[in-house]
Amino acid sequence: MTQGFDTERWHGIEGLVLVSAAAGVFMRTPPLLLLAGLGIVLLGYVRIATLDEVSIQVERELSDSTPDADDEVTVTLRVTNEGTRTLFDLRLVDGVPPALAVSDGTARLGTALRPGATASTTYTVTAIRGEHTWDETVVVARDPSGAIERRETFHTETTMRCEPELAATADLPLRGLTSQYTGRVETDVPGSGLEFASIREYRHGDPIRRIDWNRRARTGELSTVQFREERAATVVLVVDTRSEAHVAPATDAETAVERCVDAASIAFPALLDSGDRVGVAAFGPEECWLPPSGGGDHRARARRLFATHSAFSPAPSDAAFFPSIAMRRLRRRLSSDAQVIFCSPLTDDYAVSVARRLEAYGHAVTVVSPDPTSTESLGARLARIERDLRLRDLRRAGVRVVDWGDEPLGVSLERAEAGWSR
Amino acid sequence: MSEITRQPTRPGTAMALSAAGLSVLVLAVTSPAAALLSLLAGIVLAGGLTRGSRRILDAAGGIYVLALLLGGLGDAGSEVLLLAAIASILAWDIAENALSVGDHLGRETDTTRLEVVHAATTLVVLTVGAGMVFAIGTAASGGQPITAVVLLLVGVIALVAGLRR
Repeated sequence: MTQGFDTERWHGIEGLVLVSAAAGVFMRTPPLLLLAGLGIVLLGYVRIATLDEVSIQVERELSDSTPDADDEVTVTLRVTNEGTRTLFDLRLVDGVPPALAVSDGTARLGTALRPGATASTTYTVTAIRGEHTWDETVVVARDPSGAIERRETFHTETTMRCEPELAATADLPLRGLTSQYTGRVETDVPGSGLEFASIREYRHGDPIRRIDWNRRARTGELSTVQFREERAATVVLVVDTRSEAHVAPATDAETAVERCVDAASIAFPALLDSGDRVGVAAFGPEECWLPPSGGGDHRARARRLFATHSAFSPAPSDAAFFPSIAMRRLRRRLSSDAQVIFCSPLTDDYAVSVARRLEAYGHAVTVVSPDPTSTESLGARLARIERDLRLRDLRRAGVRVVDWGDEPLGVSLERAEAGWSR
Repeated sequence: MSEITRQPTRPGTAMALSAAGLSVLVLAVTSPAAALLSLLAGIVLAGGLTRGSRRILDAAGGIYVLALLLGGLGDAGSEVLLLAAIASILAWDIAENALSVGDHLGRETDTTRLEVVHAATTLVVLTVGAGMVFAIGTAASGGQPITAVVLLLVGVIALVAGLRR
């Protein structure tokens, strides 16, 4: 518990009282002596002021502790004076989680409280993905004259968990690197499938269904039609969560990390639905790894991971980050047939080198890059040009790039797909 | 809405300026010169509230003291002087409180109750104090030697200053 401290508000009163008294005596004017008398009363009032330990109870109530994203959640902060004395001057500042923005009202309360009385304030926050825990409430109390002040903190456990549903609103086309399992990705491997690939000489044991009977009728030779084999892929969604990726075009806009996680949580169910094995990794100071797998449990795990894992928190982490160690760890975890979908705003050259290195190691890389740049200032335009150059660099290196602007991800994918070679 | 305007609160500003106006009006009854000085103090006080500066508020407090001294040295009369003193102290106190509340809670928070309670407490203390002082003053207005009065004052100041919290 903190001690009360002097606010130095009334310093100098003694001097003014003495000046007034002296002037009164010197000029023999009784009114000035009365003025000095009033000053002494005030001085006494200030000197006898005391402030006991603040015994209050702080309660916080959420209208919905598990809201959907972008829901408005009303927070009610209640404070009750549990002491035996009136608190004349009580100021509370609530510890709103850093990632949440107060959209209506203020998370602050100033009041005077009789013993047993309760005051409350309500404010509204806009829910965003993640697990948000309220910090301590800071309480400042003063005695009636304002001469002594006490600061204390009260902790009330409140957590809001916002786990958006994973919705596959866009279909992410994969590249040719696949596992041996049957799936949806068309490969260049000839075999059974749907799309015609080639015709070769009949070999003993080929299925009768795949014999080209027209050709047999025309030339009398047996030949076998081959199709492009469709196989399942192993995909790892790597989200760039480095502090460099915590950038936004405007102060109240979504950060690139937020949009990267959005992109990953759109791609995840889409890939899972098409039979691919999907994993999740964070490339940033906070460690996060969900090994590639499939099934309903895996989907639920991923949903929780995207919503509440600290690596994907909307506020940047303070932990130290060693890129080369993270890179090595990521490589070790990626199986040789794993494709990588790298979600990064590409705000620096290191992100480019990550994509290029993964591509070089044989993991077919697709970069989904939300555009965090704006055209507001000269510097912002420069950053945009630099990012454009990085995108071009990647495309030249054979990496597929989806440049995701303000439109929905599906639209960007459509546009990007038109420029890709199969 | 998430931005906080760390400026003196509106209710406090309104009350402080009202008290400042009252001080000018009371002094204007008997001592126009002191009233003018008090008006100047009020303007400085308003400036301090606009700028949100504690220093300027303290300067206004200093000018108030000068105005009261001027009124006392003139022939303002005890009643007028005490009333003006109550109004002036109240103006400074409320203004300084509005500054600190605004600094802690910002202008968007509803702090009317907090500030009204603060102003009322100060007003009650000053009124009761002024009543006491006035009563003692009237009762003792005889031919006491000035040295006795001085010693009494110094003694009381020493006593009060020595009070433990």
